[in-house]
Amino acid sequence: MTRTGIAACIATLGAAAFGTSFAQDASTSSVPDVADTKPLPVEVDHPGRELFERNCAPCHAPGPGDDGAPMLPGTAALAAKYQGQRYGALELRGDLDANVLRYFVRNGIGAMPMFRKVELSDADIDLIAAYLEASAEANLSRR
Amino acid sequence: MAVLPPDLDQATFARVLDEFRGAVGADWVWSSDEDLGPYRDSFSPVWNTDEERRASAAVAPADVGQVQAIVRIAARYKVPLYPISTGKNFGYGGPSPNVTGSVVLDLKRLNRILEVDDKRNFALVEPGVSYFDLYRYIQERGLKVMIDCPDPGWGSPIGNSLERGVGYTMPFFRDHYGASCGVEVVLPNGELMRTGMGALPGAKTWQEYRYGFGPDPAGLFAQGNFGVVTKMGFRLMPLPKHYRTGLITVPKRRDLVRLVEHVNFLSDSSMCGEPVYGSPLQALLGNPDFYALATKPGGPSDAEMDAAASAAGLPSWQVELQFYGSEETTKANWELAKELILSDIPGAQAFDGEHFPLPATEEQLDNTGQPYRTAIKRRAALGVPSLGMWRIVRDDGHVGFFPVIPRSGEAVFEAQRVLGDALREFPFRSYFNATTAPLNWHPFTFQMVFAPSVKKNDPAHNETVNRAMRKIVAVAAEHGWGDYRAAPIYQDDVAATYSFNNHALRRFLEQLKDAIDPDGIIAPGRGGIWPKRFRK
Repeated sequence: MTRTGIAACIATLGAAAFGTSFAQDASTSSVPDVADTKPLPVEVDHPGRELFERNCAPCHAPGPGDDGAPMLPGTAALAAKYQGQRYGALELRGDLDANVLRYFVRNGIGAMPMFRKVELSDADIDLIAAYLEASAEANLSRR
Repeated sequence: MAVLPPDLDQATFARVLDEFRGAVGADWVWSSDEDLGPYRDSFSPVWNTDEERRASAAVAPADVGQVQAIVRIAARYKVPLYPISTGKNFGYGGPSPNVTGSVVLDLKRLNRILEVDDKRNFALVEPGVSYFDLYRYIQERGLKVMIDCPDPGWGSPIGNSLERGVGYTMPFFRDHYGASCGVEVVLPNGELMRTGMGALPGAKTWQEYRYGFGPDPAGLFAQGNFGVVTKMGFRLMPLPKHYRTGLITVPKRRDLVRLVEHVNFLSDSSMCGEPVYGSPLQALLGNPDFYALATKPGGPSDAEMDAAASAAGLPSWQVELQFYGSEETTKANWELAKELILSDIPGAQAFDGEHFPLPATEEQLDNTGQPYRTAIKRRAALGVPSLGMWRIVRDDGHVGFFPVIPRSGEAVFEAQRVLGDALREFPFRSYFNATTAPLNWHPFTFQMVFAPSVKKNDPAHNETVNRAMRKIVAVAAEHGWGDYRAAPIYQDDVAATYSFNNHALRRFLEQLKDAIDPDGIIAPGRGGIWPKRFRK
């Protein structure tokens, strides 16, 4: 699954599809160091971590992309979308609940295709959402 | 359920789904619009049009026995199945079927890596295994073999090889179907068959001698529809001790001819990996005068291009070479490359690139240490799967046309001119111009690329893409260049261009299909092969 897609989707569809939740996002994501494109590595021990790393991280992790690209594709797409208002890397975002994730996983957005239930079950998505929340919290507390 | 299988009413289809549930469990059959959304082709240029191919349901068996059960149920009710491996064939149809109403046979749960042998250098896997999975398995066990993976690592070695996908290492391995060895397949009647040495009970050489005895039908399952592949073997490259790179530039446009000949010699002698060609003149395409020259109808003259290169102080062409072996052998092969090319092409220059022992460090994989600007995808070159290349995807994805053209400089020049002129009426950036370099992915041929983006909410744009795709398939075929792989919506067009002797190949394949699968249970239309039931 591509991280690029998720990022782009959130940017373009979020307001219409998740008006309430995104309004909350906007007020609660007073992101420190938003210009920092090299977030700290996440060390959270969580059952959703392996799911995230195997299914989402290849596009949406922090850190450099391939062959000199500053970011991985999904992280880069989200960073470009939010222009510093939110983090590009999903593990730093504290505003992605399971319903939001599920919407983009099942519907895709932009370059990110949809993911089938045989690849990621609804329960898997719940675990990933919980992991992202925990990882964002852990990262912010370390800054 | 949004659509039904061909010739089936809703009540009968409901019975079929019940029988599927009985075979695999209720949790692994899907038929709602919501659940079938991810089985659409997210890169489709015919999204939300009548041309889009939609599944009626999806079913995900867990093992070969369940695959056989599903095929037998489908055969009883004449329901077409469309098998997918990991379903990531983006740009070529994704997980969507050829025939609307087909049931997608989703093999993602067949995800076992059955064997990796780093002494005899092979793997045996199931279709749901991804390149990421296989790489992780090898790394966790410290096995001394290297996989060859395509750009996106989420694909399946089986799915990719059955699509004749490519990678980026040594010639034998980057032709993924060519590197396969032994197939297990569920036939349209539900029977299980193995090819090659797999047909000999007790043989220990299934992944070492692909032929067995007599005709080898394994090729029928690549871009074909004669069965459901449930296991497949692959030859693996032993992990080399050393990796070395180098860059060679040549000054004049016509120098490409001799440069290609030398590189062909090195490649076909197994002395180098994927040669990565390029033109430094592409840096000038932002200049309107140069752009007009490079895209000139009928193509510019050599003298015009040489003058532009000379004025800019740039070489006309370059090739990045990669060597796998020991430190000494990679050095010797690079020295030979320099000797052959620099002594033959006046003004050619060579630049030493990075070299290091394998396995590479993370920093080396990041590929930021070359002394020159490089187009090599380092992870892919070293068999490390990634999704980093997804950065090239624009808008809502793309479709791909990759004509097979001769591996010569002259053929490159002709393709630049012919394909560039063919697309002139369309409002795309120039895919084919006098600076367009060939791709040497498949080891013994060149390809070029036309991959326009698609936009889900812009049907006019998609219609233009669709027209351009169909035109370029036809124009290329007029010059002897055929597409190597296509999305379902283009497979009939492409198959029709392989028309020698009144379509003798297609008629032969149809005869086989009629004999093995007359009702079209397995992927009718795939590869342009239609059984009698579906032929108009």
